[in-house]
Amino acid sequence: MKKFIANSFIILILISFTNLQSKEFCSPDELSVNITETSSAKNSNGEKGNVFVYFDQSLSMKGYVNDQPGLKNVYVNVIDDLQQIAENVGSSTYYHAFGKDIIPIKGSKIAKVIKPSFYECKGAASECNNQESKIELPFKIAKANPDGTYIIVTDLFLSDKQLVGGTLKQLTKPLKSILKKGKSIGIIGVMSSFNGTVYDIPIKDGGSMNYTDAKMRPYYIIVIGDQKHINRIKSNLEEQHFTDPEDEYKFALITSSPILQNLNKNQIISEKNIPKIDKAEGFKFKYVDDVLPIYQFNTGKKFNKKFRIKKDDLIVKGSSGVSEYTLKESLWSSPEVKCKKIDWRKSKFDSISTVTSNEDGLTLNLFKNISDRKKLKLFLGMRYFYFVDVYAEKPGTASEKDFAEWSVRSSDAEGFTQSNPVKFKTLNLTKIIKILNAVSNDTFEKTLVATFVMDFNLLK
Amino acid sequence: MINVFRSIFYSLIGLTLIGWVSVLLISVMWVGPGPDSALTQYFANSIIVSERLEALGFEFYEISNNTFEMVAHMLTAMLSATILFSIVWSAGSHYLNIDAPGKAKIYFIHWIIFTGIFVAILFIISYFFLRQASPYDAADLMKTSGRSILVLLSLIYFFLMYYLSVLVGTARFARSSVLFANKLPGNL
Repeated sequence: MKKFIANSFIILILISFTNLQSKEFCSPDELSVNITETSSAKNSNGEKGNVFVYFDQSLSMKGYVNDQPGLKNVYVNVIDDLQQIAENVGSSTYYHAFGKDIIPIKGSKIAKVIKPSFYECKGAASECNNQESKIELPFKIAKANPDGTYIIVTDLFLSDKQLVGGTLKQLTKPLKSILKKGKSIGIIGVMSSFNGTVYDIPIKDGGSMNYTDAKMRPYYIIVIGDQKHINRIKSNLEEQHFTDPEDEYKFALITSSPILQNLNKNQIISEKNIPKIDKAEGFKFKYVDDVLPIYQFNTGKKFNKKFRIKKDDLIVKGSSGVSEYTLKESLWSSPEVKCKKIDWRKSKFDSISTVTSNEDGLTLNLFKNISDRKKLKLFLGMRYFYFVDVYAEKPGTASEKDFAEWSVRSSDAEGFTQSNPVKFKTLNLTKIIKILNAVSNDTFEKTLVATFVMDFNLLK
Repeated sequence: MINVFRSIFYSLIGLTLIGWVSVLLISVMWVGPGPDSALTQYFANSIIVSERLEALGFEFYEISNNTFEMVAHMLTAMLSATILFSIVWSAGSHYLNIDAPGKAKIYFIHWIIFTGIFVAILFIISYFFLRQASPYDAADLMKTSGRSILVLLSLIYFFLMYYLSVLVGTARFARSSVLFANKLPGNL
């Protein structure tokens, strides 16, 4: 009996020692971890700046303030509350009208914006501010003073000539500068009742036509500033005005930094990112130095695991997101599995896993490239140390698709108008969003979004 | 009985004729051949998926111990089987019921079946060691052609060893049961 107890004790000690060995962490010497902050996090300083509100004074806007019987006038309601929403975001609010020029509006006269007279002009047409809509003017001001928050209310009805050559540059140059400074551009499209005339609809033979039968038409609130201010304005509008299920609105966030956060920084990565990994033999998950998550386990050759990141954890809500991710991978292996004898050798594999993204987020098919390529192989009985950096490579174009249904091209505008639409579309809207996305592409910087390690023994 | 021991002795001599090569090979593999040795080079070039190993950052000689250990175990098992089958046939041939001239030829069928079982066991041994799901991780390092070479060479070699052994070890009156054994001089 004594012998049996002694033997059992020895076996228990041996088993516990083996477990300790398997859980030990030993990284290759050449491993270097570089977790950086995302630019979106860097740029929010929490201070309240001034808010500058610009109202499009062009004549096409007049239809928004005239009620359309039986339809909800979201324009008047929103403009009414804009003053309070702006004050939530900034310390002081300054109002302006823009058309041919920018004209300041005193706070006391802000109520005029929701009156038809605000968009009318009794003088000579050349002297009036309601004949054109130079949207580039508020952008220029935003470029000169990027600390403020800019709210532009407009129908975004931009002609072809405003979207080419020098005029386009006047639009894109300040936007590029704004985005480079870490600011973002939020576009809130709101479908409202409309009772007026849509002017300057291009026709195929040249020239333009007007349309008076539209009962609904979208207008846009463009917000330039910090992402958190944009989101605050958007959520204020949602809470106060877009409460009915029939309320139609769209949101896009154009930003050079659509990445919400580096997942390592806030320890967002957990064992749940690799489904069922916790069922693997000898599984252990931990953070090394509070930033580097490590999955340790034993696995067989039929290793078919996916690393998933939810879109909400990664992408700024409403932004165009990321269209392409890349991986920077390193794989070390050692024929000795115990840390004391470990002999890490860096493999020559340049591409180990694959990465795909969809509406739900991004997915890494771990070791997919190795198992798909016959010349590459992992061997049994060895310990592997797989280190991967996930980078956001290219910004996405999700907002283009979202706004497409409200957009009409110049070449289709005449035909669309002749179909007597009740709900009128915005001229060249997709083009404008595309231009904004292109500007954000130029300012987008490759961003490290996640880093993790898999330390595993390949067993039978 | 003395004839039985004599047969076993002859059988062992037959085994030794080429069997020493396997003993030498097993010994070398146990000790571990040098990185530049012909055996290591042959394994690296013909048996092992060296290019895949190199992709992981290793040269074959650095992790050859496990492979040679596995092959040494396999050869030892095959050698044991060969010795066992040779001695069993050589000793057993004395107990064949050959009581009339020409009857020994009937036992050729028995010898063929016995030899077939021996070859099958050799094959099972090689399969056990070299298959994908082998208890030895080193089997995973081998390429398919390398496995085939090892199986083929070992089958030919151990069969030859067995054949030489039973050729000289089979009871004189039962020689007709073994292929070409009746061509041996009568005084052997």
